[in-house]
Amino acid sequence: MSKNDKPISDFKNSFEEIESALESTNFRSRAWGSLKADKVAFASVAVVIFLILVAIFAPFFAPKDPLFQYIDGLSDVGAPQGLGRHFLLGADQSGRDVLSRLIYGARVSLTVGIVATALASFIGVMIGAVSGYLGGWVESFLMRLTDIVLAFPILLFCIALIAVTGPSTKNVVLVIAFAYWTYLARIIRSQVLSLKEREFVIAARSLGLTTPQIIRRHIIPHLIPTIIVYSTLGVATSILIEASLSFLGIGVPLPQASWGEMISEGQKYFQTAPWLLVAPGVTMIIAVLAFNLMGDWLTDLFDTSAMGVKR
Amino acid sequence: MTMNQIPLVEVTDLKVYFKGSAGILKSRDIKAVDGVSFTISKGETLGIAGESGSGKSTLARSLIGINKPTSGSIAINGTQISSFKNSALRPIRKKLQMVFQDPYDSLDPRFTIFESISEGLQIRNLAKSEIKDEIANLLQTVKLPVSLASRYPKELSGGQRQRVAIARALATKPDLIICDEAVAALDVSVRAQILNLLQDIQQESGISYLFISHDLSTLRYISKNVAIMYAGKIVEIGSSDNVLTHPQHPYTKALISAVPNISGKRGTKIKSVGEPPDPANLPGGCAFNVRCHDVLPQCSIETPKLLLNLNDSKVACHATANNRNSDSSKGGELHV
Amino acid sequence: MKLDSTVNRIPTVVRVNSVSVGFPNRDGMDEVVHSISFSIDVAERVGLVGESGSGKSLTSRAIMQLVPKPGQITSGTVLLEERNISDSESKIDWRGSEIAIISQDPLTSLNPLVKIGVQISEMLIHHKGMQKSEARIESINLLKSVGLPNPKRTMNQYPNSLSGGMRQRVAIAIAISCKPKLLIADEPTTALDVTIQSQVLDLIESISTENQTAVLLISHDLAVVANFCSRIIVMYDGRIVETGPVNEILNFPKHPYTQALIASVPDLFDTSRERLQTIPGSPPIAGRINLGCSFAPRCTHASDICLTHIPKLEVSSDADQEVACHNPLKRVSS
Repeated sequence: MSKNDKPISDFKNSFEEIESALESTNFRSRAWGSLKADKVAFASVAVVIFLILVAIFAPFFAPKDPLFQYIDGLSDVGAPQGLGRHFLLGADQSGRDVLSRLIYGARVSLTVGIVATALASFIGVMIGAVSGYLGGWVESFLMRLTDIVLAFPILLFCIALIAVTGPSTKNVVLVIAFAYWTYLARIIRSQVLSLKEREFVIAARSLGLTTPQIIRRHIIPHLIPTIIVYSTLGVATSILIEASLSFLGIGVPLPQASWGEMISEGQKYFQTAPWLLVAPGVTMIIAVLAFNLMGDWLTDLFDTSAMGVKR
Repeated sequence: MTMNQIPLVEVTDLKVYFKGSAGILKSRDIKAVDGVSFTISKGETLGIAGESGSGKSTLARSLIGINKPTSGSIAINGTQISSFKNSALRPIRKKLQMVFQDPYDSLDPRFTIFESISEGLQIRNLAKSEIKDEIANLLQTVKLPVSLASRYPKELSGGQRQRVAIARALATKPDLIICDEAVAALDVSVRAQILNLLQDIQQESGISYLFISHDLSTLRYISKNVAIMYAGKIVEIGSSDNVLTHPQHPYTKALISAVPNISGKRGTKIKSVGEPPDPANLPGGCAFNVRCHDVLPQCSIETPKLLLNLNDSKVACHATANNRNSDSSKGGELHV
Repeated sequence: MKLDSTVNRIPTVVRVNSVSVGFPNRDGMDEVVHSISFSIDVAERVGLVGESGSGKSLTSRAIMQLVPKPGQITSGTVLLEERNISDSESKIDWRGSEIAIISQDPLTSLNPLVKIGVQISEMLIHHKGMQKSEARIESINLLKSVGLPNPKRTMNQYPNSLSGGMRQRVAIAIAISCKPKLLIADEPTTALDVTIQSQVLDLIESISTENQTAVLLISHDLAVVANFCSRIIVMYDGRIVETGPVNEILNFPKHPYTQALIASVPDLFDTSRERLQTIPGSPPIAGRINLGCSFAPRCTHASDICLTHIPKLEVSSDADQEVACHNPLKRVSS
């Protein structure tokens, strides 16, 4: 157009080039690349996948029936057998196999952790995003509601709810979800409040995008790192809350095994049979740690600052 | 362009008030934009100058529907848009686009350049193959290599990002692009590139601009007409040659004399004392009266009207109005 | 710039001797400021002009010996009145008292939780050993001298209750509290409105004249520098490309970059609306290693040698002007 405005470089109109470039930045290859580079992340993802597989295929992994009380699980004086060939992680006070109970317990604990958190995240993100983006009386109403739920101490709140609904796995999941969504809703709302003032959101509005389109395309994707961090933390917290409820005897009903129930029972025999406490305790620590570390890795992966940077 | 033709944009007595922080007894409205009127014809550029708090950005945001006007009207090609409901407004709203100040914030960092620009196209219902061609065209219009389409904003320089923002705005085939301090954040050497690019696009497509800037020199270069805003009101409006070479309003004079100039020392120095007022707490009468050198008794009581001046610019000032009445040969011109 | 042997010359306040600044990377150092030398005389006002990434702010931080970590001064010395202050053993009591700095945004340089009065008095008590009551009176005088309308009230206020312009005045009051010999003003008006900008620049100008304080004004805005300084240093990609008296630089630039930079700024009083001259491309990314002149890819005057040899800063033949260019522009008599 003018002699002054030289093009920065020669125009290349081949869209093949663009498409191949788009492929190279696709998500899966980036995720795999960063996993290979980061040993801690790799280990945490491996542990999480392993735990989930173990929970799903518990009957294949478990060497014995978790509920059967084996006669040889107890010594002559009635004390539980220690670690050995028959019972790899020992037997418990009723003669049941600890390893098998741990494996079946993973089913309960992970289900409670993951389902409760997914439910809580969904409620929290929706309420947070909608109230943050729309503002006005919608925001006031939803946030006061959040405050009311938030005002109760989470464990006490769960105990009270369980007392009303009665202990069952389903109720434990619902109760934890109902107590936990508030944290995410508050955080998401404050993020949305600042996001909706960002110029690219205003630009999208002036381009004529609808509100649901803007929330889906320009708001939610930016919340993903936050959602993932709080969800992975949430899985860990939910496992702990479930354990606490079981510990208090109002969690998953007996004789079903869960890690919390095992710890609760195990601590009674700590001096004579420490493996009853140590085995579920260590398993839980590993599981909670793995979820947290995986959360860290996912945050890095979704981080916008790392986006599009070729290494 | 004949006089009776409908202007592209006609803004009449636009007011945008915000609820101020509620005091114990009463809440005071913040009058961000307070009775602004102007027109922009096809292919023209109106520049709006003003300092922080003058309401120029609120004005821009109310035009694209981000801030709801309290009263007044905005008409595009004769169609009122301020009275429409949001969804009815969508097809008309795309006729007005905006290019923002901060090229680091106006593009979604998670979107590739291709994705960002295609958002502007989606409202036009194009086929997939057409979208690619159109994006290639748009990138060429803003003089960017098409190979950048797969990049993320982070990989681009500030000037390149601003070109992408312009391409995205052009994607909807708008009639008017509002440039809100669109070159302020750019390096000096890149600024001229963008200004020239905007002019090239205007010459080719006949698009209009509303160019908002605190920089009078840039406005002088890019715009045919210019409006000076102070505390939510236009205090002087007219052709940029008239307003910037022969300013009438004391505020315009002060503003011009404050502009540092590369071509030598500052001219006649009219020092303005004090600072721009707090929009929540404006002085009565003419809002400039507390900083003005030419202040008359009525200035603190009565708000001056925007009146047509001798040289076809409009000025809202009691003193210039009096001068003109008493001595029409002396316009209070400022030769610099 | 001028030779020391010149008789009756004005004494130098600060001399920067081939200072380089680098940031460590995996394989060593990314040098972003390359061997810069200049000096500032007593009461002289020097403008340091450059675009983003030109190294102008790092240069000012290097004078203060405050290069942000992990960056470091890799070579060169800074002399404050013949005293080497870049020596790691030298005391840092000159900082704030002999060389003071005003930053772009006083909100970041003022402590938001401490009253303004305390922040000024602190300087006086620390550097001048004043008593508290004495420092208070002096602080009020300082605030009055920078044009704050109600200095006594301001003493008890916190920084965020003031407007941007007023905060910058407070920052100036703190900077001049110990009557420094050099005031470094790093984009002091970029965040301010035009009318406030001219007020603040006028204030710094009058302080400089009154106290015989030298000022190093760092700006991306040639117009601001043109009105304020007597000498200009133009930086590009970590190097000084041209330096000289303000009128020479603006009217007869020798470096193609300086010339293009001047031509790309619109003039308020230019009614011709001639198309602005532009510099193609964007400023280079700091830290890249260049074989030749780093402006060469954007330069309309570049020749083969520009791509292979980095030009040295040399005194040009016909004026008190130095330029680093293989093909300097000829002075056209107008």
